[in-house]
Amino acid sequence: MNQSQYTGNSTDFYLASPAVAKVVNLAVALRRPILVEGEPGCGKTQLAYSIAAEMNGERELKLERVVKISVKSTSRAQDLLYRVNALKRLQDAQNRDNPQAPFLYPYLSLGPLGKVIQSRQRCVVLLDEIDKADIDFPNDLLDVLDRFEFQIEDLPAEEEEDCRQSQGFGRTVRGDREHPPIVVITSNREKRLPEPFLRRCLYVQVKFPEDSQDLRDIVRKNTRLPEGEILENLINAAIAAFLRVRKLSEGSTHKPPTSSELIDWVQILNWEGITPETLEAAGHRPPLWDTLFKVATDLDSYDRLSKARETPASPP
Amino acid sequence: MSIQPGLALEGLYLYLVRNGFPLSVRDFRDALTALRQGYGLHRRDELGWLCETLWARNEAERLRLRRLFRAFPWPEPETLRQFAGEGFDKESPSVPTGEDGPGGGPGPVAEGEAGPVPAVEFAGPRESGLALPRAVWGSTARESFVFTPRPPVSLRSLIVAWRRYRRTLRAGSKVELDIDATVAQQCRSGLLTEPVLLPARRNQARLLVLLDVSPSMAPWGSLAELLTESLRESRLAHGAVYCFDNVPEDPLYADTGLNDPVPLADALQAHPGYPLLILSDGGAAKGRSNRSRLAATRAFLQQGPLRAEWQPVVWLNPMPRERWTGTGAARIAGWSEVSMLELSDDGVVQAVDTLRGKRSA
Repeated sequence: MNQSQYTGNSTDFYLASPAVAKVVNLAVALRRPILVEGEPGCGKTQLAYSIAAEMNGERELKLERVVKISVKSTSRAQDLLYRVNALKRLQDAQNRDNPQAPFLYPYLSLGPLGKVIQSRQRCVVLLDEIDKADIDFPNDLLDVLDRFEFQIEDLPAEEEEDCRQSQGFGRTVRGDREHPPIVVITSNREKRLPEPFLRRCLYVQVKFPEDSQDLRDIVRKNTRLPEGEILENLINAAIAAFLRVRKLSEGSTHKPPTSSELIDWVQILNWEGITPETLEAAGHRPPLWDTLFKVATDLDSYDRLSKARETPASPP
Repeated sequence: MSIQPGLALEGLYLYLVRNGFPLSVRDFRDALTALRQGYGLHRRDELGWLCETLWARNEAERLRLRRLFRAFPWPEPETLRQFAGEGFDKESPSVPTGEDGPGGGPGPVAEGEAGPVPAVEFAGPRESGLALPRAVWGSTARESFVFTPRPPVSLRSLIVAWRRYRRTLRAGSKVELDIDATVAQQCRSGLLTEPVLLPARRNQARLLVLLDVSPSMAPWGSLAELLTESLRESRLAHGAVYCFDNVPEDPLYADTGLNDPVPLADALQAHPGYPLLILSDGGAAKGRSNRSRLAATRAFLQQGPLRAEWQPVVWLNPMPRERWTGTGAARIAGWSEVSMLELSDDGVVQAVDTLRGKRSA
């Protein structure tokens, strides 16, 4: 991808819209992080894998191509950069003859982001669901993501040389600012992100593809189903039924089904041997429609809605 | 004539900044870098896309930028063509077409020319033309109006302010190592024994919020949601929100629709000793002073449970301070039972200081 541009459609597992691909290219050119938002299940995380795959000229998804950092509610920015194993040091210090314990550097290790910066290799870093962390978390990372450089303040200056020889890094860890990692950050908008952070990112909204041709491609790319005319008809009928369900559920359910539910559903329909004709005849209550919803209240409300739609009110 | 893209972009940048769009020099440099790499060249809408992608952080900013950009005459296709001639003659990467635009020449400036460049419309009084009656607008002529409802403080600044409201006490299970006590114990016994633990410090700050949901507060309708959400994120030990209609009196309501009444005594009893925060315009929104409402408000502030346990009562008023004059708000602000502050970023910070016990002068 260094020479060419990200197209979003040259992998076997992901299809990005041209608008999304455009922003990704701009972000890569400007060396800015990409902030991805969108409904859960729309492929926010997959976008990172697809960028990595295109960067490496591959078609298939390879987990190891992306340094994935799953953000938790307890995540601290510093832990992504480096950690000090104080407990091990305390344990070692019990033995007076232990030569290591008086020094800090043997207990120092780089965190996932720290390793990426130190390695100076062009790769894709995925900070998944950043909004799960505390509101200060993004701000703490701002400077690091900007400069790809950080200080290990816990490392005493007199141990720096020893640390560099044994661990390969000193108090300042510098990345390659000319070719920094491509940083993809996803957010489910559970918390509002800080303004300075938003200012540094380029924003991508991954939308649910309403176009049935795109959906067909997405299902094809993500299901390992054998090609065949029967299956093609099943996918078409399933997408049509799915779009009916989604349309009816929008606005009245907490989480309308998205692409990830569609992919699972098509596979289940295939395993269960459901025919396209059954799907076409079923209207708003296609077989196994309940697997499309993840929340109990959504199941109930769709059940009510679809029943009301299927049985038109009889005249009094 | 050659035009430096920097100079030309500067015009757009300064125009946006003058119109109050929040941009920094860094944003400008990023846009310049992007232009140099071939983004946003060749077509006016491409440049608009670039500015929106780089400079707008949310949907509101995006729309605002789009509107401002539409009213800005630059760049004409001629200028863009000159950019292309300046050595930025790459095909815009975002328009992947099959044709290879060889370097040099004006190259791929096609549809862009079709898009008419809208004329600038200055929203100011024009000297010529039909004489229109002018609205007489006395002392408040310099006010600026916001027509899209937006809260006077952002959710984030509220959360940050609440987080400054701390009263830490050690409470709960013993999880923290008490180093001094452990060392002392080991010195006494001379043996390696169990470490001494003590409870972690926890924020014990509590807050009771009374929110006015009367029609005069309608412009700040989103406040209830904002408050509830900010309190959830605030790390306070507990925060409760009740609503009232014009005057905080019995009963209070648990919902903004005033459908779920809660007796005042119950609300106060359930939250004993909670510092009180009142959010209301105090008559300032309508510019009135209603004697009976003022009397009822004062009676509320002076009543038993509130006076018995001293607690700071802070009143945040969403109307700007200069609009309090001559209204009920000015009267309330003069009372000793309550500190009235403007609902703004600074006001919330001051309110938190007052809640923490620092009485401002």
